[in-house]
Parts: sequence; C-alpha cells; structure tokens
Amino acid sequence: MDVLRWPIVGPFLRWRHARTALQLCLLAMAVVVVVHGFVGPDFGSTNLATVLTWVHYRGLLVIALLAIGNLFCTGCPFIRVRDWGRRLHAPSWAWPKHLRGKWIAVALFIAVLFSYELFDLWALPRATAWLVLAYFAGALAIDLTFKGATFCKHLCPIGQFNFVASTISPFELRTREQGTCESCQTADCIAGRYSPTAPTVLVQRGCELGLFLPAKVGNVDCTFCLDCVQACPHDNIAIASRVPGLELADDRRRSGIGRITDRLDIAVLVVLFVFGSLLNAFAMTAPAYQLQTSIADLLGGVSSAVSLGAMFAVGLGLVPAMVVGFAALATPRPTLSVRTSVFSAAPRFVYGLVPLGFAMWFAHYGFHLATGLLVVVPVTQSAAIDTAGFAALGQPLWRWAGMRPGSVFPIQLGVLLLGTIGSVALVRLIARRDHPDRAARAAVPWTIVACAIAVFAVWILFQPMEMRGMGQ
Amino acid sequence: MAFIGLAVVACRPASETVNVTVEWRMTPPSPLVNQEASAEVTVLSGVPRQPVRNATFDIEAHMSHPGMAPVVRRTSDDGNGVYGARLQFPMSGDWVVFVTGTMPGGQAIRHRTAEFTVRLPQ
Repeated sequence: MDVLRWPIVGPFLRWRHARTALQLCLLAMAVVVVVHGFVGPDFGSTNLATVLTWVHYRGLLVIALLAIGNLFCTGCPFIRVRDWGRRLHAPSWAWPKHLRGKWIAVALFIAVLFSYELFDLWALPRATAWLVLAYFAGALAIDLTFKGATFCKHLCPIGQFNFVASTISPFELRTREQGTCESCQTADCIAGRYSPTAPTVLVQRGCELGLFLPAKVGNVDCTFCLDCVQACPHDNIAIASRVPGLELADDRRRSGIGRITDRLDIAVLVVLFVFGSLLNAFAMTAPAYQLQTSIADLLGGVSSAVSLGAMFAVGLGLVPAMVVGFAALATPRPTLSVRTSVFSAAPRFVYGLVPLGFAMWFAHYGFHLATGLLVVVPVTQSAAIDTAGFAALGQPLWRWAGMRPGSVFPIQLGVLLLGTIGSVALVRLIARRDHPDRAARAAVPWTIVACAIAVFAVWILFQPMEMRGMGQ
Repeated sequence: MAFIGLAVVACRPASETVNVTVEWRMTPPSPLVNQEASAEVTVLSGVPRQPVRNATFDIEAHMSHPGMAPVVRRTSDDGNGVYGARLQFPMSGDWVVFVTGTMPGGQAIRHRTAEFTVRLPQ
C-alpha cells in the first residue's frame, strides 16, 4: 500500500509545497505559543503556551507516530525558519566528524527531561516560550553554519525521540522498484536535482540526512521531509505500509547509519528512550515526590536540583546499566557473529524494548491529551477576555476538558499490554536472528527485562498522580 | 481556534482592572483528595476597603499542570461581603484558585486568590 497513490492525500503529499503548508501550520502554533507565553497569564493552566505545548503537541505527536509516522518532523517549524534563513546565508562548513552520531543529542535529550522536571516547565508559560525560541535559535545557528540537516540528525532532542519512536510507525519512505534505482544514473534522491540549463543551480534538494533511498532501511533518521519524493525523476518512491517495529530486528546495513547493532550511540539513545518514558511518568506521581524528599534528607538537605539529579542518575544511569548489563551477561554468545564481548548482546537486544518504551510515552502523553483535549477552548476564550477586555469568544467554558482520568486508565493498560507483546515478539525475532540454534534460551533474559519493565510501568500507572508545579 | 482567537484580539486594549482585595479561607487549609473542603472568600473594594455585597462570584480552582479539568463552583452570598462554597479536589498536587465574577456595578473581576497543595490521605 502506497499513501502517495491514495486519492486526495496522495496528490497533497506529492504537491511541491506540501511540507511548507504543514510547516506553516505548526509555525502559526509556535507563534501563538511564544506570543501568549510572554504576554498571557503567568499560569500554566490558563496559558496557550503551556496548554498547546505540553498537552496538545506531545499528545498529537505520539498519536501521529503510532498512526502514520514522523509527521511532526515533516511539519517542523524550526526547519521552515531555517530554510528562510538559508536564503540569506548559505552554510559552508561540514559538521565535524568527531561530533557526528547521537551522543550530543543523548546529552541534550537528558538535559530537556531534567529541565522539565527541575523547573516544572509544564507550569511556566514564559519558560515554555523561551524553550521554543531556543529551539528556533538552535536550529538557525547550527544549520546556518553547518551544511545538511545537522541540527535534525545530530542534535535535536525532539528529532531523536521521533526517530526512535517512528520505528514502530506503520509507514516508511522507500523505493517502489529496486531495479529502477539500479539503472538510475543521477541519484537525485540524495544528490538533489539541478537545473538542466544551469547545472550549478539546485532546483530540488535531495535527502539532507544522507539517506540514499535504495539502501534506506526503516525510519531511523528519516524526517519524512518528502524531499526524496520531489527529487526522484522516476517517481519511484513510496510511502509504503509495513509491519510496525519489524525494522528493529532488521540488522541490514542502512544508508547514512550503518548497522544499528554497531551503533552504540543509537543503542544508548534507545535505552534512554525506554527508561526515560518510565522516569518521566514516574515523576508525576506521589511516590516520586516522596522519593525525592527522602533523597534530599538522606544527602543532608540538599537542593532539589541535587536530589533530582540523584534520581536521574539512578533512573537513567544506574538502573538501565544494571538491567541491560545483567541481561547481556545472561545472554549466550551469538552463533553467527564474530563479536565475542560479554556485553555484545546489549546493542542487539535493546532495540526489542522500543515498543514498550513507546507504549509508556503514549500512555503518559495520551493521558494528558485525552483528559485535556478541549481545554484549549476555554483557555482561548480566557485569552480573548484578557486581551480584548470583553468576552469576544464567549465566557470561558471551563467545564470543557476531556475524558475523566479514570476512564483513560483501561486504555493506558491496553496500550502497555500491546507494547509488551510487541517487545516480547521483537526479542524473539532478534534471538532467532542471532541465535538460530538456541533462540528460546537467548530470548529469556530480555523477555524477563521486558516483563519487568511492563510491571513497573503498570505500577506507575496505579500510583496516585501528584501534579506539582508551584514550587511547594 | 487558538490562533484565530489570539490574532483577532491581540491588538485590542486590555480592560480597566477593578481594584479589589479578596481574602481567602479554607477549612482544612490543605485539603485531602476527594474530601470536601469549605472555602470562604471575602471581597473588598474601594478606599477605604468596604465589603462587596450582592455580587455573583465563582471559585475556579486549577491544577498547576495544564490540561486538567478545573473545579468550578458558584459561591453562596453569606452576607457582609463573604461568599462561600464547598469544594472537592479530585487529584493531589498544587492548585491555584481564581475568584471570578461580576461586581454590583457590572465590572468583571478575575482575581488570583490562593495557592495550596491537595494531599493524599495518609
């Protein structure tokens, strides 16, 4: 199935300005977030900056990833502004080789998660607006200096989240007929298409992330920008349906990436994605506040930054290292590989945990969207009163919110169950791939890890929520 | 809708603010989840401060986290500028109370009145 062949949707996506149209929609939202963040009420629940960012954007992001693919990178407003900036100043440098990979992005991802908890960003409209501006400034500064999609590929924390999560999306960009690519002389999908009359003038850029479509496997590093669709002179690129998650057990060499099992940085990003989902949800519960208080007391009344840092060090460092390390030690050496390190199982099997990690992100962000979907209506009405001085859009309908929290709980459990099934199935596939003669034995430690994570995730969902944010 | 709403009203002048003082009392001061609390607001205006009588006020309690349904209650006029309501909070965490309503002269008010933490029963 090829979405580009669907009526209405297909012609829209093949339209040259489809991405720009999506980007302008999200850019308009970003303008609302920044403007209201700075001039609106300094209270998270009644400000569009915090409501749109922490309720709607995150919720719709995970829904889009699960239902379609990396649509929010397609519509990324930072890249729209960057493209406008590049009309004025073209970058001339290449991103330094020693900085390539995901290590900086991993550090930035942790920094965003940590800042979110430390400063209660969800409750701070001004800080949220500054964060959005920082993203714009970061994308501009990096991509006006360095060529290609440096910011997306090596730095953007949202992008890395989307790259990992989109491995369980049901669609991917790939070639229709491999034979067409084999006879292609120009490779426009990666090199770009130049004007026939002026060979130095680029009329359509190719993949900025260095993904050569004939050798592209899966969605990692794909921003779904559709540049390859526009560039291919043979109309040989499809948005094809696939089995979600299967690419995580696919160890073929990938264009622009190599084998994912050789990429320790991507494996660490995946571990962060999985355990970050647990920590981010756990931090919203009553036991998390008690734990942080206990840590502070234990360390002699240290600041919240130190106690939270200790919680992060344990939740994103010590626990993942122990869990993954012990599972790797308990995994037999692969039969079809020359790699013999006792920990070599880790960067092969951690990919199997992605469905579970995504399920937890979905359960968490989906909860906020489901319970707060309609809140945007009264908040907008309230914003109208604040600015106009009268109820220009009617009196705020504060009773409009969304589903009752209790009614979302069964959905969250169902999503976690699906994620667990997906992870267990993937672990078995990876075990069969690397241990054909004793797959069942090799899968045991990682199945136990998946089940243990699932049990902990369910325990988190059972905890009473405790939404702080006033510094009390 | 958010964008249109903001765009339509962005350049309009803000309304004249009504100078009021709102005093807040709640019993218990730090209520427990799903247990009723008694709230009392005293609204004063003018110089010197005089109780605002015969007005209509709502208590609007929001969680600090956006997206959660607020608790909205119409107050009863207990006389002498004192207005009361029974409140029940469905979730533990930080809450912020706004008192909103219309003064006898017709001016609308929206006053950020109190912040408190709702706790879980031990």
